[in-house]
Amino acid sequence: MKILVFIKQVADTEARILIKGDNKSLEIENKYNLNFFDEFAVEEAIRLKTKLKDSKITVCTYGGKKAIEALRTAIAMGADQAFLIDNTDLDTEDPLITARILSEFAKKEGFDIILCGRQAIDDENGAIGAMVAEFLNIPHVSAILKLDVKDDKHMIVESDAEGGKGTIEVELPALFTTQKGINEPRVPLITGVMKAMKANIPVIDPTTLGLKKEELIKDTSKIEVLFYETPKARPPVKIIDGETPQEKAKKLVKLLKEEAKVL
Amino acid sequence: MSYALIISEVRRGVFEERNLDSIGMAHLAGKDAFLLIPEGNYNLNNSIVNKIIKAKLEESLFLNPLIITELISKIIGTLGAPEIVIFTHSSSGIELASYLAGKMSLPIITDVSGYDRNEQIFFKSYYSDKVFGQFKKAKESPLVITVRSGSFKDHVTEKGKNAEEITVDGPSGIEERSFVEYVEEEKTGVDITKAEFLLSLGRGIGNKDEIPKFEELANLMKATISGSRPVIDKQWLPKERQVGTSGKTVKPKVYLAMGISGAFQHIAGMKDSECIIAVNKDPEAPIFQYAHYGIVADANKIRDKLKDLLQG
Repeated sequence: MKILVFIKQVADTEARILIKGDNKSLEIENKYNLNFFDEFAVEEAIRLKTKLKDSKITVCTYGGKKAIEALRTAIAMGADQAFLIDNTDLDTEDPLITARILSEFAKKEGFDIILCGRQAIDDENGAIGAMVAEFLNIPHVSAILKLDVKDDKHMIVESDAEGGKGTIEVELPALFTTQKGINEPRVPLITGVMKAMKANIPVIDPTTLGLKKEELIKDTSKIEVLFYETPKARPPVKIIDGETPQEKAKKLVKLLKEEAKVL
Repeated sequence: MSYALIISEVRRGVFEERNLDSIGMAHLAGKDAFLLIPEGNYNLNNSIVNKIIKAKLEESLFLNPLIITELISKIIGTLGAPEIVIFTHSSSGIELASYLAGKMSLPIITDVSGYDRNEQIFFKSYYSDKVFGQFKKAKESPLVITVRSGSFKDHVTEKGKNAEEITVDGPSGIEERSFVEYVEEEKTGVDITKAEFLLSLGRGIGNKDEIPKFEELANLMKATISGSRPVIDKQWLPKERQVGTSGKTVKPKVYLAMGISGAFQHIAGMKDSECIIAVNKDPEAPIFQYAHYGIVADANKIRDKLKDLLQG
């Protein structure tokens, strides 16, 4: 069975993020990771491979050259091969374009099952998975918490729904996006890291996937980024002073009674 | 006709409250609000929308992306294309919105939390609210959005008359994806997202033995107890009490944070509270950058004094 995993390299949650002078682009501190939710997808692919005979895990991302690091992380965890679709000079904010490119790759590579994280933690769009499924005309379920093999054509998944879970039976080929809680992603073993360092990761030019360059550039994007801005500055905290905890607590009670009016 | 198509989120006969944010978004944008909902009796004020489109199918089929997309195609066939299709920013809303946008090649913006009516600009956050982006749709086509819970419900206004009702037939069977069952989360009666006054506890309280004393304080103040991730991970409090990106997002009237330093994952879950009061012995704790009021002191000492004052 062919298992395809789409991943994204994203800025670390602790990385400093600055808005550049033009207000239209971001400067991100050089700290990047495999996207949090994609780690679950890679892990689930590896677990699936142990359940299904003759499976192969292919990992792919649409990103800059740097994203090869995230692909190596996936190989270190246990993926079999990886591809980088190079977006140099084609960077766009439009998930439709990214989804089209990934779906063209999937058509070329072939697949029985596609996994990816429920959303990237940088733009938090959460749109790619469902869109790729639509472009490929296959069913999908978002934010899955459990993936069970029913037979070689059907999977039973549990998906996160507000205030509960839904159980859904899905016919393959299909796409699933992974939610936190589905598994505990492994930390790569040193042997995996060695393998990943040596792995040959082919770089693909997106214009060779059957899409025209005009379709890939910013101009065709249906969403225009106007500006980035930092959140509004919050007023400085008002410190409640006092010589003793007793005094401070007294003032706090007054505040809760008179200003916040919850007592 | 310039209208907004609102896809309601309904589950087990309940019209979810976050639908009001979708309706509020339509009102704020100055569009006629057309609400798509499965047939059934839902607790819905039908004077806040212009039209209710009832889909003839079972509720459990409604939130299936394949079916929703077909229903929307039918609606466009009879009513023309909406200017904007609005979903809730929830697991199911994101799934449906992206699927629809992919199917019809429509522009999409998810997690919209603000809108400028004059400039027709949408706002959304990046990197857990570290940066906000402003977006405009660049092409003349319907736009698909998901809206953040709590962002637009204040813009809902009554129309003064009841909505016109029409029906649309549900599509015939979909085989590739079938709904099996819905499993409710374990209910223990506490929903921290509904509390007006949260007493939230962090690692700074020291150890699990302190919890009962905070519970006594919470009783005295009629507050509900919640906690930060370390407190949940150490099992001092149950998971349902967790505030933050891996827990729940809360917006109480008062958020009293005791012994919480304020990792940004926690901040993201509580920063929109009306009044944030932080008690922490470290004056450099990040939570003081977000709090309206701060007390630099040991949380447990303040707790004991508060208890004395409120009992006495």
